[in-house]
Amino acid sequence: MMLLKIKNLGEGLHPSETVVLIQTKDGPEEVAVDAKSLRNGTLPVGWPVGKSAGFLLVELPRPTVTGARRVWVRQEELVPDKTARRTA
Amino acid sequence: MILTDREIQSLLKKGLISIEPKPPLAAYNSTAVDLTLDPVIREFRTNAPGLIIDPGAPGYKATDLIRSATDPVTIADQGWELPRGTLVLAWTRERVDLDFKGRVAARVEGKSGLARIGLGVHVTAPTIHAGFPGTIQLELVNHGPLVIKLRPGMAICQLIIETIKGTPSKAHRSQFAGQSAR
Repeated sequence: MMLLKIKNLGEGLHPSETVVLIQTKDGPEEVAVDAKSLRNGTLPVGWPVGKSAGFLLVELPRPTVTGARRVWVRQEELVPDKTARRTA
Repeated sequence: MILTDREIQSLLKKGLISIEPKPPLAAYNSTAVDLTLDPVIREFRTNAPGLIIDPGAPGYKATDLIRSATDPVTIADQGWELPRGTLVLAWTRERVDLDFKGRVAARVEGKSGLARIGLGVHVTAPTIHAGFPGTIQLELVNHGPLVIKLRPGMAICQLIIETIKGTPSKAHRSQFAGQSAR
């Protein structure tokens, strides 16, 4: 499993949510996520589901504020989740 | 395949899904579990003359628009009145985590007793995807002829949990794994 680097922008529409900024191939995107799911400046995104020219396609736990569920990110934006157990 | 109450409780016991705070036994029925209303809702302002929502426009940001067009309201124990024909955003008090290892997804649906007085709990978006963590956002609409009082902690919706066939790509260590930042 992988963790996506994020920048915390503050509370979302509900106290349980946090809005984070992620860097995608198409530029910065905001995502409102479950605040408890964040881990030291990263967001769990599972395994990448695609690869192209130095970018990896990841599926976010919730859509971005512009509606994208899967986004291309630079490989450098991802770090391994050493706490995750293998699921498949 | 929809899970029964016993299967939901078995997954909870094994830690393959979680619902916190833990629902009491009375919150279950044979094929679902009731979730309750968090006190914090967001009410749309009605005094936004000329505001037209253009979700197809480049750069449209749903969260920004909702933040600018709504106000948070914390419902007191004595309740809050939802007028006829009104939409508010609400959340479940429970945090749900559908870990991939549980191989389940879910749907949030209304309760019949509330449906019959006109209360809808979602607007065509009931799916809780496999791997979802968090409180569940609801779109409460009063379709009925009378004002409906909302109270924090009331059973507001039911969660129906279904098994999924196979493992989604993001939970499967594929050929793309291990090729990122080192």
